[in-house]
Amino acid sequence: MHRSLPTSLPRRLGIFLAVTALAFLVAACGGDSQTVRVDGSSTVFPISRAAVDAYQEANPGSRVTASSSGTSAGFQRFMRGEVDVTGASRPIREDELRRAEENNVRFLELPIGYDGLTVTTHPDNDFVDCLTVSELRRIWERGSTINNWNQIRDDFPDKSLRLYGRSPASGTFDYFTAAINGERGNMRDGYNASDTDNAVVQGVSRDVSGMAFFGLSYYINNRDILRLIAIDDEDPDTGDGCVLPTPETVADGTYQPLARPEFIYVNVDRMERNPAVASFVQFYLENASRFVAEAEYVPFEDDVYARVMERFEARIEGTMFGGEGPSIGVGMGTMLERMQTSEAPTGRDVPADDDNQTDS
Amino acid sequence: MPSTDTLFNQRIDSRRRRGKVMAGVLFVCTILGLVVLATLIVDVVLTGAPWLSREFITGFPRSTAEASGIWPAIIGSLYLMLVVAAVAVPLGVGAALYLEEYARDNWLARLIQININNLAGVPSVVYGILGLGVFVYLFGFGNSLLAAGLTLSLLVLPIIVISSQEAIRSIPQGVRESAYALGATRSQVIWSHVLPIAMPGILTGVILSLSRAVGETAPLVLVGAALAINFTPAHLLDEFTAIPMLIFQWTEEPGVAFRELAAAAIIVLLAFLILTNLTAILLRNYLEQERSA
Repeated sequence: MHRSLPTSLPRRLGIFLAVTALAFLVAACGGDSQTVRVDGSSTVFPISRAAVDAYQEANPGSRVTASSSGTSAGFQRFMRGEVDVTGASRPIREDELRRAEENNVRFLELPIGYDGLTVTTHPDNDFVDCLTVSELRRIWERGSTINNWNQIRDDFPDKSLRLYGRSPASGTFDYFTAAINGERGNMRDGYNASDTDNAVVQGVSRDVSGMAFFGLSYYINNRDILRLIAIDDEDPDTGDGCVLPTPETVADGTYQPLARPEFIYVNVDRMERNPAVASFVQFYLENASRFVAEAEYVPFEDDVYARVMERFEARIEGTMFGGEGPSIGVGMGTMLERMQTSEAPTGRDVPADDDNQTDS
Repeated sequence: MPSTDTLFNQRIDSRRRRGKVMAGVLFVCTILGLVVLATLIVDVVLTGAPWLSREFITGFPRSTAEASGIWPAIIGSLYLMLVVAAVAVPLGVGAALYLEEYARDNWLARLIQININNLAGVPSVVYGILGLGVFVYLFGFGNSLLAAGLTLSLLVLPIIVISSQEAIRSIPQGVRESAYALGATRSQVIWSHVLPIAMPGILTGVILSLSRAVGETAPLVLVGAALAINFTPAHLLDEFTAIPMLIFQWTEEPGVAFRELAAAAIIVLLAFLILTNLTAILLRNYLEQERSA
């Protein structure tokens, strides 16, 4: 046995590791807090990332991070004060409003654009062009046993039907079930649930008997392997008959009920403490229409963005939606109306800009 | 009734044939795994290689695939590996030494042993939840390198303990006894005989577990690693991202370009792992040579 080397090598390794760890810890004391933290919906993430991108180009040396934990997880972190801005593919819910009140979190609610959910089939499916909302409901609602196309409509062929969609953890699932089946979480058994939109796209594009739902941008990127289905919401007020989802029909409110607004929520206290947050949100809103388009969603009209900017500049806190969760059928007109009336708030937890603190 | 002797002789050919068939089946088992692995690697390399460039290695993740890079993730993964090496290796080897050299064979030691064996099989997402609760919130480390590194350390600790135990156990008892016979104390025996002889085996376990730690995604998602980040982490409590996080995010993007970029990131991760493993293997060979010299 040679003693000298074997004894000293582990020791030398140990010293090296200890020194490295120490250097790290010492450096940690100099940490700064001017980082802007963004989290939230994976649907909003591409928009926020475009904003982060452009912001860092315009402000070299700035520190911005973005994640996509999902709408609900994003709100949880938001209410704990861990993130400054959180994206949401539905308005804040009642339970989340309660958390905000308990934790004295004051927030701004800023709509930034529209997303459309699409219903698609395999490209070789040549008999479906359009489905009504009530047909979709019979297919997808809880307790549904439809497993053949001819159960949907008599003139459809006798062909088995297989369904693909997102799993219950997603905002897409929340919105689809609320819009089609009338209640968030109301969903049949026996559909192929995936955690990512790409998996849903892959599923339906390889199954001639398939039908699926997912976000418009996933259709746009895969249009040659999918067939788009028009939706008839049986409501003449929002366009007669069958409407195909396009950026135009999503924006003008005729593609209903599967068009939904996307939001960012901003923590007011953190914004007041960290000027970088205000500067980032200002920049986000000024260029929102570009970021939304880059992410392949549907931007608002300019006058809507002007109104969102007014809300931001006046620091109008609280929600326009009273905690109702997924807001079905919020078209451009409704959005404008809500933003006008919300200065005389109806919901609780909506202090105007006279900065009245919640009780505590 | 023929005697066993004749029966034995009569069937020799068929038994030989059966032996050959068995060998063939086992060969196919070996090859099948390799073929699947080779297919995966070839597919990834073909898809991702065109995206590999200096800009990709040194750039930051951006909103278009063309402009995106992976630099902060490489740095993040490297730091994570250092944290895991600094925390899990001493703890794991220490625990293995205690269990093999000091602990008596009583119910407590057996209980600890069973627990360690079971912990090695706990899914990584469970460690992620633990890390979120303990390191991120309770200790207040935030969504930092330190919180993620400690979480990954817990994840690989059982693997390091078990493989170190195996290495220590394989040392012939005579080695220890001859050292004791010369009057060495227990700690002298450990430092001068047990550890050096077991070191190559221990390092093998360390290499495997560090690779596992660097490839993990689920715990990082839970402790809140960032996806878009415009700085590299400067200290242990800084925010960070890691290569598997970017792969995870890019495969979820709607566009094809990002999915090809994910393949490029996988190539970088593979290269990263090969490089770090190579370093450890060279170190192991060096130690082995020094010992036998």
